[in-house]
Amino acid sequence: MGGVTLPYWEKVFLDFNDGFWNADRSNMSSASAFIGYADLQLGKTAALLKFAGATANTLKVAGRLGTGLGVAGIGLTIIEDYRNDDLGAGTIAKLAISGLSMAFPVFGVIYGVADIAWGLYTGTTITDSIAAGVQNAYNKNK
Amino acid sequence: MKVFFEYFYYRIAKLNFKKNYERAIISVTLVQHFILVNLYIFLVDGPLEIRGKLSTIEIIIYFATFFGLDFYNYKIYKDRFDEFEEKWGHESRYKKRIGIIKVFLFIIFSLSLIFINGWIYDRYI
Repeated sequence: MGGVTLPYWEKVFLDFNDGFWNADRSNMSSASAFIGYADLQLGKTAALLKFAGATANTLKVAGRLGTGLGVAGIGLTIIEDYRNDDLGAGTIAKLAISGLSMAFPVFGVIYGVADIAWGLYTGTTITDSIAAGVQNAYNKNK
Repeated sequence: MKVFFEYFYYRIAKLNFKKNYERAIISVTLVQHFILVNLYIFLVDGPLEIRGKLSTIEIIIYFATFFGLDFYNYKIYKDRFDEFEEKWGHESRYKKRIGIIKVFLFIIFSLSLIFINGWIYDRYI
């Protein structure tokens, strides 16, 4: 008996969903996870410095360091995928998320907090879950 | 290449609606650094089949080269936007479009190098 054939995009979504919720646990001690955390802390430090009335130059240095860590973190995430033989559609998803975080800093900060909080709570960061979902959808529908 | 990176900086700075030229400098750093890292992977990491977690030394070198390059770019591009605006601000629409495409393709090229290395050294899932 033939089963029900799902529309293509519905199947892609279901495979994404399957990969998302069954993603491997994130390596929270990896360099990129640490950099993401450090970047967030630096953002908070910059806000605190502003509150404490720090000089424009100090704020500028904290801001530049934070942006630098964020940008350098993008590269580090991809290199980690390479070193772990994990390159694939999920890597491109991670790149896209990092790009969005850089282009829209407010989104980046909110997403960064949510990503790490979710990662600490469930064991897998949102980014890793999305990457696993994209990879699963790609593998099953290519 | 020097002129291309100046143009790259100028175009990214022009795109930045908040007039935050530092983001343009860091964009130049990102693509340059990514090319350097991929060169290292192609010449050393790949042939020696180094796998697994990045070592502390590698991470330190990674950040030292990144921030070193960013510092250098900051020194050479800081406060030069107006100079570049004078040089390229009156480009024809055609030249401008070609220039933006070149910059965009260069970003794609630098970010896709790791996937080429991954293909050469079989690092896909």
